[in-house]
Amino acid sequence: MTVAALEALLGARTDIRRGDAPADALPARASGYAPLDAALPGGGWPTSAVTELLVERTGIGELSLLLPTLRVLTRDEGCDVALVAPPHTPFAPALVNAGIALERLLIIDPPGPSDALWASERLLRSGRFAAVLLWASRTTPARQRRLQLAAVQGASLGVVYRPIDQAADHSPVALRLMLRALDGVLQIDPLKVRGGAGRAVALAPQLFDDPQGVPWPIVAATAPFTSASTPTPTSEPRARVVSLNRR
Amino acid sequence: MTATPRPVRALWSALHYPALPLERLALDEGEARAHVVTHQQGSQRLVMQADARAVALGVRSGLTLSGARAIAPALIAIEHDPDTVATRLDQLSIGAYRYSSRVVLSAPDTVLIEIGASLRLFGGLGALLTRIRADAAAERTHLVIGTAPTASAARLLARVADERPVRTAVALTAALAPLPIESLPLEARAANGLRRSGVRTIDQLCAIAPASLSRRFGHALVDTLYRLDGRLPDPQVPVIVPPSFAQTVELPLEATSTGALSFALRRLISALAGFLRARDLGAGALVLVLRHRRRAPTRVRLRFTEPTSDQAHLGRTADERLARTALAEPVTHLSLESDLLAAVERDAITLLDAAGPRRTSRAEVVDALVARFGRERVYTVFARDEHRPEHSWGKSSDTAVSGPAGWPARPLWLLDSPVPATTPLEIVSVPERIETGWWEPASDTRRDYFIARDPDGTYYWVFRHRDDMTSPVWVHGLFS
Repeated sequence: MTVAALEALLGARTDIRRGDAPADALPARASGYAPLDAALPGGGWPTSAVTELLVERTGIGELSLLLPTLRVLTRDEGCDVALVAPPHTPFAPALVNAGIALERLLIIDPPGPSDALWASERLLRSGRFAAVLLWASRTTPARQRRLQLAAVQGASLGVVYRPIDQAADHSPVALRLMLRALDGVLQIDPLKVRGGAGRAVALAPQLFDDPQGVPWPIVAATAPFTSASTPTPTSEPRARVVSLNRR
Repeated sequence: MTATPRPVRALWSALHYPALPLERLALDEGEARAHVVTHQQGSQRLVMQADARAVALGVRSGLTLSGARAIAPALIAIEHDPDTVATRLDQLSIGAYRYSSRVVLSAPDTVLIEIGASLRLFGGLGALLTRIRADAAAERTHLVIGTAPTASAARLLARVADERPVRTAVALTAALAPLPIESLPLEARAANGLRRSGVRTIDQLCAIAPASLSRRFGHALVDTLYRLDGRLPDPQVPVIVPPSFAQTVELPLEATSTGALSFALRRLISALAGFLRARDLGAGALVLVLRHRRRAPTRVRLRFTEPTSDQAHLGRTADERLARTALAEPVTHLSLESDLLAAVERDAITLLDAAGPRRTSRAEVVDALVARFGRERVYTVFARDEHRPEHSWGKSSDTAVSGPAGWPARPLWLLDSPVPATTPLEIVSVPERIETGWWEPASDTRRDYFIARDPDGTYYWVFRHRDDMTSPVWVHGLFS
């Protein structure tokens, strides 16, 4: 067998990744965060694939990371998106502030983890939901593979949030990123990047959009206070009274 | 230029169901025992029909039941019930409206449909017949299809199990020629007389001058022949579709799990799909009624996001919902009733399921999720013009509600109920005073909301009660 024949044979296989010849980057859409887009091979979130985000804990900016994408999809492109098994209630006023068209947002609150996976697979495969975000407390490589296949079939952008302690687990998805909060900065480290290498990125808070309606960081701290027992005698700042006739 | 529509030549298909007495019961897929249908003749119970397993054991129709039991001791005998067979044929005839807008019942075992007008819609005769056969196979119903330019010829071909479609008058004459005269609906006197004259086949019969036949056997015989080849009109009375849908399937052995019901459900959904097509409606809501021997029936209501007439969608949604239903007691009968019917936008493409991958609609996906999880678990959120955070949002499972925009800083995650802060927090915003609801004593909310940060850099939405400086700090939301 000649080298050329061998090349052709290997080239025809999509399941073999050869280290020195980066495959074509997956089609992607911009995340809305320029430093992140620059660090990912396709220039953003891979569409028609599943991205895993391994999150240190809830509330470090893991949802803001997707908000520009959700806004463009729901408001500008008129596509449907779904949130499956979110850890808390997504607060409608904040979503409105982020510019998301709520009528395009479907929330599914399944009774158990396997139901959540079933629902996500169904949504991804349907091809009617441009993006599906799943919060998965536990899953398996086999289930992740099914999600990845469903995302390919439905040409849908899948995002799976997983706890960071599952970072070492094998997963067949296209992109895996680890999200941690370091000194108020969102640190994003690539664990697996199909079709390229990927670099670590740090997003400082001011890089964030203004999803919740305030520029970050907000006002300089007054005296730190702790909960309950030690009320802090703060000099009462002039309160902004919100009247019934809110602007 | 005016387009002249091509005249559609009439073409009839006779859907002949030879094994209805046996198949009227929705036998479970896993059923491995032999079944026969018996009928009472004098003092004896005779085997009327035997299923494939019974036939393999040597049971033939005409045997006495005790004789059959001697061959196959585990045999299950079902008493022939003409009423339920008629019900099943009704369901099949309503289901046949999926293929044609002219459906005629020919008791006890045949449904006639005019398909000349349906051919283009279904992509030709072959495609239509394949579709009809596949649907019958999915309901595990034996089917013989005779196709001919007249209804009575189609019925005749089906009853002699000649499934080759006949589309022209010439071909019809050739197809009928070798058939024995016994296949015609003849009076006994005419049949005997013809046999004595040495007339055995239809072409021999047709060779005799009609006038001579009339003289000897009356007009009825000639009329029968003329209806066969279309020389005499053969008006057919179409099956009347009721204004609402309600059909029942009897289960052979009481079903103890919902899985055993899904096959019975398939038959009902087929009939429903025909009903909806005939009336040009979509189902907005359906009710499944599961009858038990002792308890009151279990009623399961299905709602659809949009009225639909799509058989696959109806079937999947009902299947999912049924799988989620807990059975209090075994089920003896399964009924399906239409609850809400509405006009539906007819998409001709949906008829051509096989033509290509069909895109599922948003409503179809939502219905599947609702069927599995319940309506309260599938929703969208909307914002309300209301300051108190607990009341400033709502869930909606039906239509989109547009709400106000331009809110002050709000967290993406709202906790279901506020929890006391357990870690030291640093306030990083001016307070936002929210004090409405005083007219509702139970929910008197006078709070100062702050954005606060913990040492790890997570931002919280916290509040303190306004008038109480000793009040603990409550976390109400998480910025993300």
